[in-house]
Amino acid sequence: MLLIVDDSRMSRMLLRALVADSRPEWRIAEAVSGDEALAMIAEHAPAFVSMDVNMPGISGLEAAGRIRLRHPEIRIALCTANIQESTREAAARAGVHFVAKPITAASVADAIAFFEH
Amino acid sequence: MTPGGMDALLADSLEIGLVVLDAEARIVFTNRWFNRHGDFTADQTRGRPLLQLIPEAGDTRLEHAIEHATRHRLPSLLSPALHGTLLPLYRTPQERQSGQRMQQMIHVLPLREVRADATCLIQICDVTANISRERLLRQQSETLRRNSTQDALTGVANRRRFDEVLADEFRKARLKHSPLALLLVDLDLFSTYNTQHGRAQGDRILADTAGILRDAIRPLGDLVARYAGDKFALILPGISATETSHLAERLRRQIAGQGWPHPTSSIAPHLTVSIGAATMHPGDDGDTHTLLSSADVALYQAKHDGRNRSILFSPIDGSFMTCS
Amino acid sequence: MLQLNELQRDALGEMFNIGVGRAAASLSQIVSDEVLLTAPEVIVVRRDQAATMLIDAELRQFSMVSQNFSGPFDAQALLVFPESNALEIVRLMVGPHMSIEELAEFEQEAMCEVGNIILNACMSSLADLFRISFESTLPLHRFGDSESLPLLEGDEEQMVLILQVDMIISQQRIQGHILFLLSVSSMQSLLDCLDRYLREQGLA
Repeated sequence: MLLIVDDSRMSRMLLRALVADSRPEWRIAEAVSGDEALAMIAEHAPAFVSMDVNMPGISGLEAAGRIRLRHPEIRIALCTANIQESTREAAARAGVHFVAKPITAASVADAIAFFEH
Repeated sequence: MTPGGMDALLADSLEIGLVVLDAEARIVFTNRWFNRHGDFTADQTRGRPLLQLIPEAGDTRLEHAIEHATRHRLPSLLSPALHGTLLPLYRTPQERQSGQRMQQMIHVLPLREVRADATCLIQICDVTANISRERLLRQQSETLRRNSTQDALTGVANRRRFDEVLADEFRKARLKHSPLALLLVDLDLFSTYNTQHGRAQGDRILADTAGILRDAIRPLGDLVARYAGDKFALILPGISATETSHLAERLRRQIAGQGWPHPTSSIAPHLTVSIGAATMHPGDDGDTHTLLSSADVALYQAKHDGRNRSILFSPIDGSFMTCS
Repeated sequence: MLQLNELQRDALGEMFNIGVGRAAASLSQIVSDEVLLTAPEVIVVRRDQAATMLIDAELRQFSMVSQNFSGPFDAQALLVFPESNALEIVRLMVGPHMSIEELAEFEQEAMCEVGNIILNACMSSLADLFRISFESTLPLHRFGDSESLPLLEGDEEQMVLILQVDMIISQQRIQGHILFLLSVSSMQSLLDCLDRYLREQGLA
């Protein structure tokens, strides 16, 4: 299962549509904030997470860090408009994959390749 | 623009630098001013990628501005205040020898007519006379600034800024009736680490620890500061005791999880931290000192219990809790 | 009056966030430090309402950078900060221990560039996603008070897209606004581009 965490409805819809195109067998769930994602994962852990960074409440980086502590087996891709070097480095340190927005067929293919690696 | 034509005659008489690029950022034309102050010959420049002629312009705002002009057809301005001496241009041969560059105001403009062989115009003005005095002040003040609010080694806030922000957040929390949390993070047996690995390695660990802490906080409102030599402080507005406890324990594990070898430590084969945490609802009866000393008490307790742990102290009922 | 539906508002917000994210990367390169820029919300109001809103937001004395974009739709883009916030940005970017007078000498040109980076990034994000292009004037900096906001003059029917921007440099938070002034027909063209994009993505 893939959990999409993004406060933008368009981004969630785009991701869902592009993932469903190339991996129709995946189940997809959505959360609109880091807090909601953590609550959902406590109930049922997905295999993959796509995480936005700038969201209301806790940041995506913090949420990713918390998920990694409890569930190191979950593969997380940060999918963000924050393309600074420092964010890329933070992603690398937190052990998560970095994907720059906008969400396109190419960026989704990159994330899927990471998930299935 | 053809050399030898009226355009080139005019361009070569101008007292500003001109560079014309094609869609691949190769140089199509440079005027005399640019060649003179850059010490280039026309043969050297023509047909060559600009970034090959001036490699140091790579991955700077100039490169992005060229892309903006070429790809998006949008104009950019590079101000001397923020870039100053971006290109290796000198006013005189003497200043070239002493390495003193001209101060530059740069405009990067899309050419109006869309054609692949000339897409972008870079225009450079010498503004040395206007700003050299201020530039000097700026460089001096830059050093001052980093010293005054930022810790030079780790790049996080220094103690002075910490004091200011704590007072400020305390006041805001009181007005909003919201909680305020404080974490003190102390590297265990760090003086023996320094003795064994040397000061330079110790400094690297401090900088890396600061990086981990900075990545863990929320960018809005939270603050990481170097509180004392091997001690960091985190100010966290609006989070509950439970969240504070989770965060403290997560940070403790994350830092210990780096596996930085510390063979002489009696606690673990790697470097560990002790964390003291406290939260309160700033009311009329407490001040910043109450919060600080509560976190300090918690840190003392964590060390007393054998280090490598995180403890939360509640100033309301005086209870200790091991973070989880 | 034209209104955005929920998806349009969300989509525009996300597009501008991609733009300001790129702008933040440029700014961060200049200051060699992390810069955070977010534009949490987009709203559309009439010109006169925008003036009231900004004045209520204590934008009495402001520092403003403008660029005029023209293309499939025309927009006057403005980056507006309260004067004290603009000075704070310049202080953080150029050197905070200068006197106010010295900083003020840098303010216009430094703010021109900051505005140029942010406004170009917003418009080029739209241009990329909509696959269109714009021409633009160079940035112009102006100081003023609420009386001299360009919002108070001109066509009644003009509409304004307002983004609140949050900028964090060296752990300091600075707030301002990005405004796009559009005629009704330009606003309609923008929405047409947006709807076309959403349809192409299979979202509408």
